[in-house]
Amino acid sequence: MSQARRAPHRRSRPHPLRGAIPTILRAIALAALLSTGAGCGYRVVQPDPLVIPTIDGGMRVVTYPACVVAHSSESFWDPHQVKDNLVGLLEVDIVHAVDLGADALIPGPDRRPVDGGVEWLKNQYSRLPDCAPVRIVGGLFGALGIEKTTLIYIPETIEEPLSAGSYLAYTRVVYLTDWVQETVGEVNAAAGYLVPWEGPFVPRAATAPVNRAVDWAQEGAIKLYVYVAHKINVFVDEVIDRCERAWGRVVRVFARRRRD
Amino acid sequence: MKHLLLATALAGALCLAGAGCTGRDAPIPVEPGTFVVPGDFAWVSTGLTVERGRGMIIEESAPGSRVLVDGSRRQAVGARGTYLFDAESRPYPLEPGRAHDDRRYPAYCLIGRIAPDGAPFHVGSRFQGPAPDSGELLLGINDPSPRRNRGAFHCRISVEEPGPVAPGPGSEPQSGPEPASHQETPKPAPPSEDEPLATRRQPGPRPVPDANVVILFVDGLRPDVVVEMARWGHMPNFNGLFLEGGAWVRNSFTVQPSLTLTSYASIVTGLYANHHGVKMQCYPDTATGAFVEGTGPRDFLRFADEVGKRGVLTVYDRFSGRFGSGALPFKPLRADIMELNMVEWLHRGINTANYASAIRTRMDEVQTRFALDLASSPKVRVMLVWLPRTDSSSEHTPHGQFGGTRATVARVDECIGKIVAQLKARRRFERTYFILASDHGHSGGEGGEETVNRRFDVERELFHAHLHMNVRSMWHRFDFPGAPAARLGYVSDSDGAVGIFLPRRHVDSGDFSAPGDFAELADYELADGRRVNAVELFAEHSALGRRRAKGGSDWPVDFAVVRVDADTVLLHRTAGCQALIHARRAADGTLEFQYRPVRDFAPGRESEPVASGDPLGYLDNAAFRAAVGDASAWIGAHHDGREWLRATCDTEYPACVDTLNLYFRWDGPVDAGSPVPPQPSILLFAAKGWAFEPKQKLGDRDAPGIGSRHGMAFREATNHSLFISGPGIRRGAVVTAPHRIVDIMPTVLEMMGRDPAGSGMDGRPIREIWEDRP
Repeated sequence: MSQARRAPHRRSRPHPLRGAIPTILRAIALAALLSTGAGCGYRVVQPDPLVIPTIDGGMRVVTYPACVVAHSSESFWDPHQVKDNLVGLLEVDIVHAVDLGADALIPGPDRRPVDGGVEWLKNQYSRLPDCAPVRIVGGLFGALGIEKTTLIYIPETIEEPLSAGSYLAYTRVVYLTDWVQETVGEVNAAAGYLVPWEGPFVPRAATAPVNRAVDWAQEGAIKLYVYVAHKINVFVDEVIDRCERAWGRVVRVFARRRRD
Repeated sequence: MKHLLLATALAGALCLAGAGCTGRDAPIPVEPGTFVVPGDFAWVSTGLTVERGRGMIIEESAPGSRVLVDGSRRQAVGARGTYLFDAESRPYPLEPGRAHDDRRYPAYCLIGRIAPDGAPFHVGSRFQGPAPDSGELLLGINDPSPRRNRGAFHCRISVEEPGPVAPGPGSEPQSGPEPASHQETPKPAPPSEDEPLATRRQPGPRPVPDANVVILFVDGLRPDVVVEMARWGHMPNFNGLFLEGGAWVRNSFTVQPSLTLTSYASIVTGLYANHHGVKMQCYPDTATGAFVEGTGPRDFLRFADEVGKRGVLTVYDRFSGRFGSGALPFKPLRADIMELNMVEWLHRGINTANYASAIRTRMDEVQTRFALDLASSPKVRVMLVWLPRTDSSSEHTPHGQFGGTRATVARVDECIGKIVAQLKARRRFERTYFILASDHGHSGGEGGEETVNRRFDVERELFHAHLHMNVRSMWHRFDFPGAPAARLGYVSDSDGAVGIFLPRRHVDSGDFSAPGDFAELADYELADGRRVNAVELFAEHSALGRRRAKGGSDWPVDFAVVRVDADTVLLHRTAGCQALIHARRAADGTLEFQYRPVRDFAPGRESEPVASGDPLGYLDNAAFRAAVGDASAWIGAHHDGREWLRATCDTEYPACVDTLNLYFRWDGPVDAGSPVPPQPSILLFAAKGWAFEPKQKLGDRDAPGIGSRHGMAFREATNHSLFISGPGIRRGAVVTAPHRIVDIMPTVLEMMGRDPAGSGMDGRPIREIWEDRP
């Protein structure tokens, strides 16, 4: 069955950038490995001794053992930061990429011309008279968020806008669901003028439970998504913490031998 | 030299050309006309001689004229200079003792000096004040290496008639740290009794219908700093929106301690800590044994969850579905606030900061970019934009907001400008109220080199040296060599206030079921069987023993606060300088407080009355005495929080008495579903010039330096920024009536057309900001 579905695949020729994606991903993975290794630097800290008075009026010097510090929250090469930055690469959008290039060429402070241009267009559109067609079209573009398409998933997004790989597919689904709800609401309200009873075509008593159910499903889905993402992030951070501590112990053994 | 000659000749010619052009009422110019100060010379002589103390005005005469620093068009500056770029590696002439990136005064501004060896002073775009010395006046550019600059500043110089100088609008008070005092704008005349009733308007707030509210929450911004920078011309958007176009609530104070999460909780709830329960940024979870770090990635949802479970309404509950924000110090995961926004916010963050780990250093930009999205959404009617970089930058810059943080503050102005522009583009500006508020002030750097904060290492100097205990703080665990692993105490934070969590009665008891009271702590047992007064120990000792009693005034701990009973706390500076703060319920259910100075307090023992030398200095304070009359009689009675606020507003410790007591109370629900707030045994406040932070932190390879800090109880740390503008709000006004941070939320409610009465908040709406005041 699946073979039969695959056979008449609508793609007659692969997208030119598609072949480059594995290479890009490999390069990122290599950079990740290198940077993680770079993050394994360390610093041996010998805390200052503490001089404290004793009960008999004398002084006691408390010495602390040397400590190996592997974590460096300020460093670009700290494994936690490397992890965040690698994940973050998936979020770089096409508008930002073009702006980076443009700002490199235009003298002066960053102007982000494309981002600014997109905002200008949106602002101009918002000045159109507030009516149902304007709201529906604006809502659709807002829900699609085309300008937020990420660089790495451009080919997939072009071919399958709602594929799991396209930018924020999850949130786009939620926004599009919102848009469908609102558009249906607008149509229902407009149709209400054609019928003899007051209010929309389908009474609110009937639409409200449906809307509530959709909202509930949206909220549950997003809550699950964010909860899982947060847990994964915390878990990966804990793994890195353990690795850093283990690395610190290894260094400590060598540092001790060297001192001996 | 050629340039100098040309400039001198040109200046002379201009002086002659301008002669006789002044009116009689205007300051008489010494040499009428325009002086040209070339940007590529360190100093040029004006040829003018001035007398010490004589009023002098130097002002930029052609604001369009620019100096191109290093000849670059991208680095064009006017006489006001700039905080936005710094092309130097050496100290600037105006502050030769400071690093080039830790300067209070703007780079490349116009500066002056009297005589070639005189001390340089700041001129900027306008200077008005007495001449600091007698002699020849020289002008120059605040640039350590001006040779490659191009262009010149143009300025006029005049002296004033003898007599008091009345500073004009926009004038600056001689480059001093205190901004020029505003006069409160005169109140409109009350309606005449003869006026027909029909034409009389009901006074009071008249918010516009369908209003929006934008709360710009600039973490840690000092009001005097932002006003000074605005007066010097470095905050044009802030100046237009708030100083000229709005009202400054000058005497507004935060809660105790002045820490971010506690203060922020009071902003968004309008409640004190005894009702919202957010008391510490870090605390031990006695149920699980974990150390909760409220701002860390693991626990960032916890505070909002706990506030919600206590049944406390916040700004996002009161405006559910109409509230929008980016990242906040704490916020819940709820679809209408954060869940969806978090994904979108992260996307915006990475595409603004360029990569993920740069977000935290460019947080203000990221938050502003996301705020533009929120400003575009008609659904978002109340918006809270947290700009945290001012606080974090201050904490790692030696002179804080009187040093390197000024560049960050100047960029906050750009953020304000972008948000305002977006609201204008969306035609929402006219219906929008703006509130610029900080959660606390900052202490350090304001007095020059001598007020750079120093560290006091509570972990080692007290826990290790005297209690021989291990201790866990936000940095990591500090183990005392030889102590059993289970002998553990906790320190909550690292700023100007820390909570000390001690196991009850004995260092090895491991019992954190409830905070110890004074009776327990005054007789605290150590591992070797000795007993110590732990309150006295934390307030007066260092590793080398009792220090304060030896007469040194330079002591890191200001005072300690500890609970005596359910209604009373003890404030301990030394054994001979203490005060009890007692709370009781008045007939209407409100709490009233009595502040009773005592000496050598012991439970059950009557202490003799103290007429002078109380720990907060009220009895010897002229402003307090002026406010209350007979100080001894006044403090003998109970007063509510508002009365205490008014009485202590002009003292060194404003609005402390009630909030210190409330901090140790919990008046919220106590049931299984409502988490009881964590409460330290001792609350320790840092003195001026000090902050609580380990001298050596082992948790990070690159521990940053210490800067200015907050959390302390005194004025610099508790006087927070509060500026308000919008339709119907007074313009250019300074409200001197005292207020508190809990008053922000009721004011927001009123702006959105709701009645805050009956909302259950501790705060009251600020009415003095409205044009039609009741």
